[in-house]
Amino acid sequence: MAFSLGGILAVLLETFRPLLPFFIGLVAVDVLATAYGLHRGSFGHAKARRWALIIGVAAMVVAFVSGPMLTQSTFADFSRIIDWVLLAGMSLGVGVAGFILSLPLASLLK
Amino acid sequence: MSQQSKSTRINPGRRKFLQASGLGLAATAGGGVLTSPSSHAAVQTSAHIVIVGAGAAGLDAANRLSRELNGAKITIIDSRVEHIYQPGLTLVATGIWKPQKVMDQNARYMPDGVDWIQARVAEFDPSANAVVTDAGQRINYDYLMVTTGLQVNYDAVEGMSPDLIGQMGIGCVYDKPDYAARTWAMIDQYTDQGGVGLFTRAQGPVKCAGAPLKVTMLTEDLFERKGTRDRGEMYYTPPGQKLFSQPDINEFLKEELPSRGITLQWDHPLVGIEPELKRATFATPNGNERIDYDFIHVVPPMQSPEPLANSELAWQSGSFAAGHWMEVDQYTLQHPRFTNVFGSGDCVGTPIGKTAASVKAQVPVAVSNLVSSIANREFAARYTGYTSCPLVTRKGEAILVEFDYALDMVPSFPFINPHEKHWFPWMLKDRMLHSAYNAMLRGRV
Ligand SMILES: Cc1cc2nc3c(=O)[nH]c(=O)nc-3n(C[C@H](O)[C@H](O)[C@H](O)COP(=O)(O)OP(=O)(O)OC[C@H]3O[C@@H](n4cnc5c(N)ncnc54)[C@H](O)[C@@H]3O)c2cc1C
Repeated sequence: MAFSLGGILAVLLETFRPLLPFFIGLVAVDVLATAYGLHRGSFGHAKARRWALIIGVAAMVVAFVSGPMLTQSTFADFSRIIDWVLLAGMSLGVGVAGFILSLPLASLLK
Repeated sequence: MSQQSKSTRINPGRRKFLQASGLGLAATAGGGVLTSPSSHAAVQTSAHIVIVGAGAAGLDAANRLSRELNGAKITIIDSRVEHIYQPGLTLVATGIWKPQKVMDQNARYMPDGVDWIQARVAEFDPSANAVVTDAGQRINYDYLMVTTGLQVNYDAVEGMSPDLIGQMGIGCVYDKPDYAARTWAMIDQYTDQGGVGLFTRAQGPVKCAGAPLKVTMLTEDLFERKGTRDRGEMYYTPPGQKLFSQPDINEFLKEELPSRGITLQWDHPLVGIEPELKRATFATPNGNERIDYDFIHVVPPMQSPEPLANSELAWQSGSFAAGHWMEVDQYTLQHPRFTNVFGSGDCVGTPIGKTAASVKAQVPVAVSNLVSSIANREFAARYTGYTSCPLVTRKGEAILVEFDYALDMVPSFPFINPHEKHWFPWMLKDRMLHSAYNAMLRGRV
């Protein structure tokens, strides 16, 4: 059965619904920080990018390592290459989200 | 019954805010796709549509109809206030999930502007376009959507009653969180103490035909994890010569179960239990056979709920008449004799179905065709028989089985092999399918 993009987004929305207030707050703070950074001309400076990258990579590693644990399983249950590829892909997604969400705040650093 | 019916017009402010804010976020990311799930503009009508049953199919239908129709009066009838995420019951019964995880509230998914009558339908009168509630209220309709789910017939197994679940080695994963939790108490005890375990499967269609198999394999896995496997003598007792309707999976299971020391006892429909003696009776082709057990997983026969079964809406002849399933055209989901009546979910008699995954595929079809009926359009939607079962083989491992009327595998994700057990389908079952189910209740997948 084919899932539409709308369907996939609806599923993700349900997955994160309990955390929605937190994400809305975070995005609001990010928007403000982005506006402030753009106004000051300091958005995405080199140091900010480095910090955001560190946070993104950390989030990716944590997601990768804790992935099986969050599903009450272990790496021993990974019997196909596709399991590793998909976990890596999901962790990469978490890492990219970590980078994007932390960049505006990191831009506030001097 | 003298229960007073209560009518509620749903308008929960906070929920609306969360929906709006959440959908706003998601719609931004997806270019607004979430706000336009239908290819047609909403149809203007003053028709009164009654939905009977606010389970998976009923809520999905209510949400879709309220978006796809403008000016319609939509009434949904169900006395049940709590919503049970039934696909999670297998994990509750095997100790993997806590019962609270499958408990929810229907009100969270009820669309705005829909009249919710908190009663049960006691009588269907399709010749007069009316239903009668158990409070004696007669409700007329222009169109009817029947989504009552099914009824588990504990009485069909002599000596069995739901009160026995959780006592004297008796378990049953169907059909309430409390029963599943009590089943877990029995399975936990059985995998400590061992003995003979009988894992039964009723004759005829049951909801989620994979559930009895999952309970069996997860129990075996638990023995292994506890290091007590040598104490348990396990038997799986199908009523006929098949384990699963999809042939590839049937073959897989015919190897998998014996390879794990689970003996297959073909042609063993359970007909009775003697709880005090811990003895089960099976009506085999060679006559009744009695087997003593230490644990038994009872899967009773199922049928459509009585008011539906006793109505003209039920199949009057053919193979679906035995379970009194609702008669529908298997492709359009329209009743062939009462053409303003549509059905979806566990209650309908179709060759494949009785899973939440089927509901996901059926409801958009039934709703689309009902709306087409109102708009005097040709029916454009057809149900292909799609069903799916994340067949959990062990904790941490599953096969994502998806097939249709032709019994062909129809995988949603081309990168997941529907013949292989591995972690990713388990991850879907444990983490994602509940969200997919909730999105379905909102009519969004
Ligand atoms: C143990 C178990 C495991 C399962 N595992 C899976 C799985 O892994 N994957 C999967 O896809 N599916 C699974 N399912 C199946 C899935 O849960 C059902 O197919 C799905 O819930 C059917 O939806 P429905 O709306 O038809 O029925 P339900 O969700 O049962 O809702 C029916 C509603 O109708 C109401 N009702 C009944 N009679 C009346 C009346 N006379 N008047 C008014 N209201 C009435 C009831 O109160 C209920 O709210 C499982 C089910 C069980 C029990």
